[in-house]
Amino acid sequence: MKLMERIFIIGMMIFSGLVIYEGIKLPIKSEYTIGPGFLPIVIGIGIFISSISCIVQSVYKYKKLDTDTKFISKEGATRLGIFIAVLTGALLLNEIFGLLISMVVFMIVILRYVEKYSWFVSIRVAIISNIIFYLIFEIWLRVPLPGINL
Amino acid sequence: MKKIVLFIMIVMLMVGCGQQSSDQNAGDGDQQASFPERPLEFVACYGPGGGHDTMLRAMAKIITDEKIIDTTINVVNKPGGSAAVGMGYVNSHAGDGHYLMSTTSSFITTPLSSDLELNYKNFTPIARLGIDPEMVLINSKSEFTSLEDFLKSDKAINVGGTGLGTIEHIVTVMLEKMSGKELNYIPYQGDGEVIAALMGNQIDFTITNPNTAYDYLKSGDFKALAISTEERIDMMPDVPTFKELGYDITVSLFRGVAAPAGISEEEKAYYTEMIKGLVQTEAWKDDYLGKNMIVEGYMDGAEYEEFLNEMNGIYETILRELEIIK
Amino acid sequence: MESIQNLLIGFNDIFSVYNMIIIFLGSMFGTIVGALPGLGPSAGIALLIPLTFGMPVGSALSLLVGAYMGTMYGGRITAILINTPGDAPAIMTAQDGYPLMLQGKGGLALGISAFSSFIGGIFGLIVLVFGAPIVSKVAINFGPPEYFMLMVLGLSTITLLAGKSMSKAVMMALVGFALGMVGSDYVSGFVRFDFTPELIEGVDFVAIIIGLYGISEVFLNIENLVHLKMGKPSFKVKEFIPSISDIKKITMPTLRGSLIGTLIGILPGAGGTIATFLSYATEKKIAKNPEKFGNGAIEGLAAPEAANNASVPGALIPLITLGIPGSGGTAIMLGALIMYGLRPGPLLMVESGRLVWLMIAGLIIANVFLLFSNILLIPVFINIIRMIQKYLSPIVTVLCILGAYSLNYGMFNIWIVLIFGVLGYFMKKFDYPSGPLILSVVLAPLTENYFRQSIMLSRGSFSIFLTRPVSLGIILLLITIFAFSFIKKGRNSKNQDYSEE
Repeated sequence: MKLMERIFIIGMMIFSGLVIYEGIKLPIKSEYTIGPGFLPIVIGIGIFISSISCIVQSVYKYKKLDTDTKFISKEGATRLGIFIAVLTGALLLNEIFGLLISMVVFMIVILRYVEKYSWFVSIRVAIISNIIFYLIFEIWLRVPLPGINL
Repeated sequence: MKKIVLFIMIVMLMVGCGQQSSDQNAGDGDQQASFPERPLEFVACYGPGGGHDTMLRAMAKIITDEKIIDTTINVVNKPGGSAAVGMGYVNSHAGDGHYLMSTTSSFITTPLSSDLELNYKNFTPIARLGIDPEMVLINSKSEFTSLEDFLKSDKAINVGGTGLGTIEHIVTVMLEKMSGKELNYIPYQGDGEVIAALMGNQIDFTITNPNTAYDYLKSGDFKALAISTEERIDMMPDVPTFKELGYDITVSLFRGVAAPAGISEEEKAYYTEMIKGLVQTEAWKDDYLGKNMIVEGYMDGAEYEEFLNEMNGIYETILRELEIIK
Repeated sequence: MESIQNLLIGFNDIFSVYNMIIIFLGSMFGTIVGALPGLGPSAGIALLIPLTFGMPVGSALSLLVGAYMGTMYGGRITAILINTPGDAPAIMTAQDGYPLMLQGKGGLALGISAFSSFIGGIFGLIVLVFGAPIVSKVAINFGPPEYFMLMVLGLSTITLLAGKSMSKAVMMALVGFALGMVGSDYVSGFVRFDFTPELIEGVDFVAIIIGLYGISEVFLNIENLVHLKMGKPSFKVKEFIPSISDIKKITMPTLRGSLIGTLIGILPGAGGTIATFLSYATEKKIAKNPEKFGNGAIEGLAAPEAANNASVPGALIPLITLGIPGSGGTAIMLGALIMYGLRPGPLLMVESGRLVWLMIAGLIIANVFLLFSNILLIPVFINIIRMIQKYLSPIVTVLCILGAYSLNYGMFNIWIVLIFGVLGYFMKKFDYPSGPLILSVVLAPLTENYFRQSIMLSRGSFSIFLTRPVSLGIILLLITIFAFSFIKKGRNSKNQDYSEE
């Protein structure tokens, strides 16, 4: 937990650097008022300062606690990793199979391998719920969801 | 189980509503041997309800109703990135004449003010369909009564308009240069905010177009002092042009259509004929131009291209002076 | 009492069995559309417009106002059930509504929020009926300096919403501010942070909300493989009708929320959002047990929900008196009015006053119907969730993805949702609050622009904030609030010191 929180805060510091960098590229002043680059710089510096304050707080917190809780269990990390990987993969597949078919595949894989339901239940739930989504979004709300594009 | 049945019933009810409300174009048009081989796609670069969308849907409806061409037209929205997404989409079909895109000032300003690697030169201009002139509007309670009064007074003048680097801003900068009077331009987010600011006397005058101004002129809340057309317009015959007042300002917002680059002469001619047929109809004049208070301003592809060159020059100069582009 | 007479004429014009059925169906439809993440009043009204062709104008308007009001009720449903607010004003509903859901009191949360929504809506409508001309005259004198100060007031609620750590809340607010600045900046003409062309228009805050709330919750549930335990589908009235003691508890918060919502809701752009945050902060501030807020306090659910719906009629005031839409939803109503041949503007009341009063009467009727239909719908929604509770994570994921796609009909927002899902997951793990982030995203562009416009109006002088009475008034109010909270804090810490000794 301790390490991960620090990494998160360092991530925020990098983000603040990016914000400042973008701000510097823009004018800071305009004729009568602040320019478009002024606030990004101020906000970026603000994020940086508050991240330092957060790091200091986290140091104090863990000094008091002595023990560090685990950020994530091994099983949890595996599950979450599979979930995000499959979701990203399915979204990329959308280019070929369309959004809904990709989502059916995603749901079947998740229900079968992450939530450990039987094949029958996984396929049934995935297909029924996506038919309902198809009816709601494509037919009823007429959202033009990406279709099969071979 | 009961609940499942109930749920399915609700879903069916929803589907029922959806199907009743769908107004899909029934039937395909006669397939011709040459162009077009399939339905045409009109691409609106903004979402449903916006200016692009309204124009293309009005066009599609009138072209179909009046049987100007017998091919099915589908209007699709490709919104995002101030028309950047739509431009990218149409450009990805370069050489294919089945796409026609709506173009307004963002056709020029978006490429200029962002890193987009496309600009109007990457497309085939088909026609300019109309213009939105700009007007100088003041609150009726204002101490001034003419543009001359403003520009000669010692008072610091605050001018409201929508956004920086927009046509409203360009008109203000031109007026400033020609008159020598310093005008303090304040950008607002949309017509609504500008109107509210003028009503509350937060600003001294505003630059806006007839469609926005009309009702407030009619109700007597505002007065119009000048308009940016070559001649006075029929809708508002009492409003003098900038030219009459001695300022040579004739820039206006424009609305037009463009096709992807590299289309054949045959395809170009097909669209030119279609648009010529369209702009002659009464329905176009009344239902689109009249309703939206757009001033007629048809130009064919070649003229439109020249016009775009000229507008691009004006925008580029001003945006450079403002240091928005380097 | 001209208004009452006009309103009675409006009721008379609208009242027919056909119109009543239409309003009812419209409001049910709106509730369901509003409940889908990513879809709001725009989608609801746009879908119904083709249906109204051929209807008399009165009936067509009835259908649309029913749907419009319905979407306002619908937004709270997914906020409570799956922690996915559909819009920024619903954030505060999720704050205490979702914890109630986890405690198995989802039905009660839906019941309480329906009741508060109703009171808020009616309260706002009363102001609309009697006060519209006066309110619009006052509002027109608000310029950029006043709006800027109101934005500061809105942002100041961050300090009240902060959890244990103020620096975490401030950091999140600043990150939100940076995100809110992405895209083209109309005051300077520059485009900021446009790493891809889609970003020219900025990051859609609804996509951020769906990611930070909905998807990150799914990630946590997948990690720990937890499922809701709501039992088998059943119909129990007790489950969703608030008890007398509950109603007593929420009466004052609801009324305070209604008042704040009506007053602040008139603000264009972010009125509804500021109102919900402000009313939540107020309740937390004056509550006897503020530590319950965020863990399922029904006062914290009722007040913002009332404020949200009270702001709906408030936003209509500038629309019907001046023709200026104050929010995304009212902009759609404006479009609808134009379709029926009305011209919204300063002449709307003069030229088509009867139709406007009919519309107001329709809103009142829709509100009453919505109270009942929403209470009737609670068991349906609760039981749908019960049916799918074992498979909730993937289903919610797909729902969020489809909702994100519907925002702009493009894949871009789906990736935004995914990125903020991951960010939200870490924020939840390390206890960083997401409320301040969203509030900043919504208010950042407004705050910056109103500030710059003010300074431009005064040509570089800051005195503009002090010389205008309303702006000065808000400054004094802010100073008072902060002075009091410091005194209170000082006193509390002193007491603690004593007890430690």
